[in-house]
Amino acid sequence: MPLTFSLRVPSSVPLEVDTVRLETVRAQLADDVKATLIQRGNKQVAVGEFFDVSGSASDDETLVWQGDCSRVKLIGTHLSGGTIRVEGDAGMHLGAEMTGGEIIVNGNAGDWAGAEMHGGSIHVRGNAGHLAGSVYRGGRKGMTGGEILIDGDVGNEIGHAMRRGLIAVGGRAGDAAGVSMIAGTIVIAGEPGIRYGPGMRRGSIVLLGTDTPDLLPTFRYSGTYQPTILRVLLRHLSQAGWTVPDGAADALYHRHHGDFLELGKGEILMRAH
Amino acid sequence: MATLRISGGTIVDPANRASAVVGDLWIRDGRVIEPPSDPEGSADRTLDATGMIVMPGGVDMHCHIAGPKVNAARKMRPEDKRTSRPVVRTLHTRSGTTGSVPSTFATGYLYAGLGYTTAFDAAVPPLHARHVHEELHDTPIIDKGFYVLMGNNHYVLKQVAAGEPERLKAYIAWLLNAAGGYAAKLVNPGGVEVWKTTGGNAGSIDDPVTHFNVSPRQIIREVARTVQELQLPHRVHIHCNNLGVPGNWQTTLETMHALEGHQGHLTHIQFHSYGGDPNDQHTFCSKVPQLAEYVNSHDNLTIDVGQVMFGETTSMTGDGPLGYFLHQVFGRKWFSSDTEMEAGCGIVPIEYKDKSLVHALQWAIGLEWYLLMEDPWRVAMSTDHPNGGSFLAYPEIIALLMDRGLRKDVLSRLPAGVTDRCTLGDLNREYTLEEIAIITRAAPARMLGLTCKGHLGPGADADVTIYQPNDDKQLMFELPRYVIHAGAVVVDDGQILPHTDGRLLHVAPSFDAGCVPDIQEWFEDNYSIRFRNYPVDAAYLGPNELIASNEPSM
Repeated sequence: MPLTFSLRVPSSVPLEVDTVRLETVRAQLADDVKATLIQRGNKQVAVGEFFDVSGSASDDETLVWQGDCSRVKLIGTHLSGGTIRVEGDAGMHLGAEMTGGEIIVNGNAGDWAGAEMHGGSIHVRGNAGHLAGSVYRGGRKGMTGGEILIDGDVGNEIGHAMRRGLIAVGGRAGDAAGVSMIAGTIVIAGEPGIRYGPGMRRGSIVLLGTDTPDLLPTFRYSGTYQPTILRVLLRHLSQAGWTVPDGAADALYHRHHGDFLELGKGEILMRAH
Repeated sequence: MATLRISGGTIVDPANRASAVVGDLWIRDGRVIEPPSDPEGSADRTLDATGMIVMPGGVDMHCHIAGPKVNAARKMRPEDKRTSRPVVRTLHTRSGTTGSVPSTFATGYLYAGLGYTTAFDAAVPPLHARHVHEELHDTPIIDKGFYVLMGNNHYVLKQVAAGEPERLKAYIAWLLNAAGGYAAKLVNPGGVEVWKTTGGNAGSIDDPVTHFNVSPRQIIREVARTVQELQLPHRVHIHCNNLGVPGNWQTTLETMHALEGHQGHLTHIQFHSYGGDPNDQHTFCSKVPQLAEYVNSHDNLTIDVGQVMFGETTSMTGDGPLGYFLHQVFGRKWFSSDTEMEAGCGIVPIEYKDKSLVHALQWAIGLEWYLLMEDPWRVAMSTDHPNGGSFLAYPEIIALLMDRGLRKDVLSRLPAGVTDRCTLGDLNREYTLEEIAIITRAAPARMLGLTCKGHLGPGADADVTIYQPNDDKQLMFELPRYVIHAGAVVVDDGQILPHTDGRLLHVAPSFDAGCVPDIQEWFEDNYSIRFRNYPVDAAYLGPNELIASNEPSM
C-alpha cells in the first residue's frame, strides 16, 4: 500500500512540499512523515497540519497525493526513482529537476512541470501550464533528459532552452514552443500557437495536427518527406499510453529548418495535406 | 566604554613588530590602547586567546560590492542565486542571497565572517554615487569606501588635452567631494571613450582618444601627477588598457613608464601580464618575471593581484569594451551601459575552467605575482571580486601561497602547457604568516593611507581577527574564532553578533572654488541632471570618517 497524502485542509496560500522526498519518507512511519516541515508562504508548517498521511512507501516505492493539490507546489522535485501518483491536480514545479523515476498526474499540472529535469518521466493525463520542460529564468539549459507526456493542452514556452529529451502534447499548445531550444524533441498533436522555435539551435519540433502555423521568417523550407524516425518515435509514444493521431506515422511532412538567427540546425516538421 | 582585553594570543602585527609575540591586546572606545600599568582588574571583559593568532582585521582594497553595476549583476544572475545557499534571518542578521554577487547585507556578513573589516568598491561612476552610498549603508559591519572613475570622464579628458593642470586638479578634488569618494580610479583610460563613440578600443596607450586630441598616456601621467599633488591618501588606482589581451604586458610596462615616476597603484595586474600574439591564443604566456622585475625596482609602484580561481563567477567591469570581449569569448548574456559623460560598464557571467590552458595560466600568473614580488608591502591580495573569483576564495589563495606542495598538486592536474609558459613550477617560495598578514591587511591599509587600519599599535582602530591555528591554512582562514570591529566582538565562531553598520571612509580635498563656474557651465550643457542635484549631500554619507590628505607635516 503506497504512502498517501490526502489534502485535508485546503490552503489558499500555496504549500511547497519539496522537503517531502521519496528517498527520505519511504523509511519513515506515517507519524514521522506528518512532522516533516513544509513551506507555507513565509512560514514552515508540519505536513500533518494540511494532509492526512497513511500507508508506507517502503515496499512499492510509491507516493500518492490526493485531493485538489493545484496549490501544492514542487511535488516530486529532485525525484531520483520510484513512482509518484497525483490523483487530482498538481501545482507548479511538478517533477522539476528530477533525475529518474515516474510521475503520473490524473488531473492537470501547473506551470514549470518538469523544469530543468534530467531524467525519468512525467505523464499528465489532463492539461499542463506554461514552461513545461523549460529552463528557469536566467539559466542556460532546460530539461536535459527524460520525457514529459501531456494528454491535454499546454501553455506557452514549453521546452524553453531544452537540451535533450522529449515533450509530447496531445492537445493545443501555446506560443513560442521550443524557444532557444538547444536540442531535443517536442511533439504537438493539437492546434499549435505562434512563433515556434525562436532562437532554436538544434532539435525537432513536430506538428502532427492539421493546423499549420505561420513560421518565423528565419526558418527556411527544405523539403517534404516521410521521416523514418517519426514512426519509431510515435510507436514509442503509443506504447507509453499517449494517443497518437490517426495516420500521423505514415504521413508526409514539410521540413523547415532554422532558426537562422542562431545555428540554424533545428527543424520544424509540419504534417502535409 | 568598556575595556576589552584579548589575553595570551600570538599577536601578528607586521606594521609594528617584525615577528609575532605572545601578549595581551587592550581595547577601549573602539581603539587599541597602551596596556594599562595595572593589568589586573582593568578589563571589563577578557577574551582568552591563548594559543590563537591575533591579527588586524582584513582590508580588501579592490572589490565590487555596491552600486548600479553590482545591482545589475544581481538581477542578471538569478540562476547563480538559486543554487547558492542564502543567508537566513536571525536575531542579528537580515536575510540575503549569496552566489558570486551577494546582496548588500550578505556581503557585510560574509566579509566579517572571513575576518575582513574594511573593503573598497573600486569603480563608481560619480553620477551614481548616491546609489552606492545607499547600498553601502546596507552593507553592515565593515568600514568601506569607493574609488571614483575618472579615466574616461569628459571634463578630465578636456583639461588634459587643453593643458590645464590647475583646472584638472580642481575638478578631481571637486569630484571626490561631490561623490563622497576615496580615491581616483582610471579604467582603461581613454579606451572606454573610444568604445562608447566608435565601438572600438584603444590598442595602445599612444592611440588617440576619439574627438579629444589626447592619448591614454597623457591621461595616466596627468591624473597620477595631480593625485600626488593633492596628496590624497591613496595614489591613482589604475586598471590598465588592454585587459586580458595576449601581449598586453607591453601596455602595462608602458603604463608604468607613463607615470614618469609619480606614484601609482596597478590593480588586478594578473590580467595585464600576458605575453603572446593578440590574434593567436596559442601563443599565450606569462610575462610576470619581466614586469615584476620592473615593479620590484621602482618603489613608486604598488599592485594588487586580481587572482583567478577556478569556477563560475560574474565579470563586472567599468571597462565597457572588455565586457563585449568576454561576451564574445564565453557566448553568455551580456550587460553593457554608458554613463553619460563619465564611464562605461560591462557585465558577463563567466567560468574559469581548470581544463582550459588560458584559464589555468591566468591562475598561475596570479600566483607568480605574489611569489615574485620581493617586497610584500607593495602587493595586496585581491581577486578583483567577483571578476577573478569571490572574495570568499582568499583562504584558498592563502593556503596556496603558504604551501608549495599544494601548488604543485594543482599544477599537476592542469593542462601540460602551463608549466612551459610560466615560472610557477620553479617558484619554491612559501609565504610566512607575517607575510600573509602584510598582503591581506597591513599593506593594503598602508597603500590606502589608512593610518588607523592594518595594524594593532596604540591608536589603531580596534578591528581584530583571531584565528585558531590549523595545519589546514584554508580552514584556519575561512573560519576565524573571533572577529572584532571597532572594539566590539561581531563574529563568534561563525555566528554574527550585534554589530554596527560600519563607517564610510572618504576624502574631502580642498580645491580652488574659482574653477567651479567652468565645471558648472560644462555640466549644465551636457548632463541629464541639474548641477545642484549632482553632489551627494554630506547628510547622505551616514556614519563616516574623513581621511585626511597625507600631507607630510602641515
